[in-house]
Amino acid sequence: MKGEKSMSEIALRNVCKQFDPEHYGVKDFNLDIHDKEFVIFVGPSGCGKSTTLRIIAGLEEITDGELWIDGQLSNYLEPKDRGMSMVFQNYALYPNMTVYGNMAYALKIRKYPKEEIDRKVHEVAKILEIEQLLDRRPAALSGGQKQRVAIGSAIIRKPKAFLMDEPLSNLDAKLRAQMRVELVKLHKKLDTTIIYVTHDQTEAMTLGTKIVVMKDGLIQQVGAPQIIYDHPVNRFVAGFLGSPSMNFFGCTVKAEENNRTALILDEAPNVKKVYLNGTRGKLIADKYNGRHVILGIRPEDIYEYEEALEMGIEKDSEHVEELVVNREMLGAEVILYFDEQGKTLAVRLKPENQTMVGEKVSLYFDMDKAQVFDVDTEQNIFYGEE
Amino acid sequence: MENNVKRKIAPYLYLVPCMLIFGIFLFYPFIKTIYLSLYKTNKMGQAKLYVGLENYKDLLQSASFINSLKVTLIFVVIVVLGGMLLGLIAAVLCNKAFPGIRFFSTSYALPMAIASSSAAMIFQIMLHPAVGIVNKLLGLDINWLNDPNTALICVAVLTAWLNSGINFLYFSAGLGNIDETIYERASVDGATGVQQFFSLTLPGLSPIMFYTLVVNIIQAFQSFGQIKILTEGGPNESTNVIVYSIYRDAFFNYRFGSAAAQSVILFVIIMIITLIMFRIEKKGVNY
Repeated sequence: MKGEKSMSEIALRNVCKQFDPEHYGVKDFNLDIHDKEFVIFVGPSGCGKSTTLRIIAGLEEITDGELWIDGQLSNYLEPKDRGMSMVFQNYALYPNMTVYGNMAYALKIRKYPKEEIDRKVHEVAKILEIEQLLDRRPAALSGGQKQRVAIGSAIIRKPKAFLMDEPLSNLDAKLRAQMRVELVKLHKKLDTTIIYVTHDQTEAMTLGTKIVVMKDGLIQQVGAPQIIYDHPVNRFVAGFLGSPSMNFFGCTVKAEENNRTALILDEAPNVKKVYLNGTRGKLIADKYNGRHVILGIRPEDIYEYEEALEMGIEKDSEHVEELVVNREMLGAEVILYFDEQGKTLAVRLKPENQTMVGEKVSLYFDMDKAQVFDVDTEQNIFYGEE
Repeated sequence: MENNVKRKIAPYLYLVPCMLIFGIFLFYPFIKTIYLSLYKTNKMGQAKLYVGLENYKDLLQSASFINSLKVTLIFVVIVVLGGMLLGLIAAVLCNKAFPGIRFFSTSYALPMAIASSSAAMIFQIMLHPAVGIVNKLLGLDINWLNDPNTALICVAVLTAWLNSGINFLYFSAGLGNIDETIYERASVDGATGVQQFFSLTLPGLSPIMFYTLVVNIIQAFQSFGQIKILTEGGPNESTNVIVYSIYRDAFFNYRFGSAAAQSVILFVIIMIITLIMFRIEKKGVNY
């Protein structure tokens, strides 16, 4: 795989896509995609992630804004002249061609010599372990095989970037997990930019070097997976990444001594208080004393008493017995569910935990990991402050 | 016991109406035609003298019939190619949504709804050597329907246009079955519109293309109304296709035996072509 130019810098500047005068598919999208990045567009369906990908591919016209590919304004460049290759959600294999024909198509059109096409097809087929399928037609392939052929057809030439539109969404869970690993390997091997669209936060977290979280056509947050997970910009991002997702509670702020700030959970069955300390406590106390806020805490940041004691966080939560309403044993972890403010509170614990449904335990929050959100703007109050 | 008999007979009773209609309008005339083709008949069409294969022998030695075969072949080729090409182009043009698409789709499908005889009447006026719009627009002075060189082409083109309506419908349905995203992938892969048409659209249409081809060939062989009205087989037998020749032999010359023999030959030709087509289909249409 040589010869073709592979450097790529893609930049989107204030890109908008309007489907009708009222409705934006994508609004004011700004992003720089550098060479060799694995960028993930993630968000719930209808958030504009696929539209953005199609804009980069040239399949969707830009209503407003600029798309730059390698320093060239590319708004009106034909898809075929953009040097991208794309894997579609339904794979879009050519039904009248064999696997070989499907993979060779892009090269045939570029008038590559026959021997070179043949060599490349076999080379790629070997990487993806589909050599034995080359003579079959797409109709005779399973979902996973089709997906490999689609990826094979994309990687057979060295494009500026691979565009992947939910390529794993039609696979079963086991195969999906397997393909995730393969995709990461492939990214290292190919050493090219990949732009990947998914609604699955697990895929986003495991695959990407850079995640772009979108909602309603707007970028919510851009960054490395761990950074976004630990420092979500707002309640939506916090709730979207992570499974089970972050627990949210309405609270009232009450400043106490020594920068210790109590958050009193509204409408809890028993009065439950948790405490923020140090600069975090001061920040909340200064701005929000006496007001309502939303507390967010991830399931893995909640502990039972013994562990809390070990970590020294037992003083940050008031001891209140709570009823376990459901228990999920996942093998490597146990997830307990509680009823809190009419919503389900999920807690992720070690698999050795033997607490059963109907028992009562006291929960301790690791408040250094907690996030607090403004009730009106839903912005993370700690974001950018730490 | 009684139940058992009922159960055995009942299915056949349900078949009776259907078989009756087939029998009266299909099987009886078919067998009668084969029977008649072995006889000389009187003016009332009654079989009078058994002659064996004499009628067939006469036909194959008749220059008129050989000419008729030739004319039919040219006619069928023009009608099938023209009709399918028109339908295909129209269907491809109307495959994308654009303002006014309903008007265009309706226009392209319209020939389906026009009776061949009325279309023939309109063509007759359009092709009129003195007042016809075709000569006026082209600035020519050709007697289209009375010139042996042009008459067959004119009739064939009219028939092609008449058949294009239903072809448009078939092809539109076929195009609707092709997955849109393969075109998107092809354009990202670097294929031009023309390359996409030949490598994706045509193969995608191949199953319906085959069906359309068979129907078109059979239909073309059976064209009659427009020939009867426009040229009546002339001039100089240049548009004397087999069907018209059968009609003329039977109802002008009262040679029902010969007409019946021609019908049988036409039947055999169409059957052989259809069989060949199906044989080819098994190899050619590939998914």
